[in-house]
Amino acid sequence: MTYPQTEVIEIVNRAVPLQLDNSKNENQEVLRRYHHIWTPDVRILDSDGSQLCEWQGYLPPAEFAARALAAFGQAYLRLRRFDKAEACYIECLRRYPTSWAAPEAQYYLGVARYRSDPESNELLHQWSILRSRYPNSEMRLKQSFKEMPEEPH
Amino acid sequence: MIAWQNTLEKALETAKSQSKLVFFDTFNPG
Repeated sequence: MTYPQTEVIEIVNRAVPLQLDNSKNENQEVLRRYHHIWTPDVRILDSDGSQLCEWQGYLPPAEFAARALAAFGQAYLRLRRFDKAEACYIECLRRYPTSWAAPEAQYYLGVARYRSDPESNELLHQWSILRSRYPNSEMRLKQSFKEMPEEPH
Repeated sequence: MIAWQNTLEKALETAKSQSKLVFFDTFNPG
């Protein structure tokens, strides 16, 4: 079980925790609205109910905690609250540097800093760290266009 | 412990009043 773990509880409680049982009739309307299909099913919503991030499937506690931090980062990034997004990604990378969510946190840390200050070199700097630390990750692939040599003019 | 809310409406209301996100988990008891 993932939720009894202290590190998970502390992170989940940073938001308003909502849990629905998908076998209960009274929950079907809400679950249809969110196109629910599989459990475990986690969504991060804003206070209007708009979905900002999601994932499905079991994760052990440390991976769950890392994924939740990256998900909060993604949610704040979409809300353009760049300082909060940055804090989530940094915490994910510091506490869970070898997690499956860490490459995503590294990628989007660059995006958050770039969106916060387009004049900074943080996007390329963070993506350089991504290539170094997570060379076999999907997120490395997603920035690989920056690795291609420029065509001669 | 996690003090789960069990309706979307109440969770959104709380999120609005506390300027928080909602962590929405769906499970199957089986």
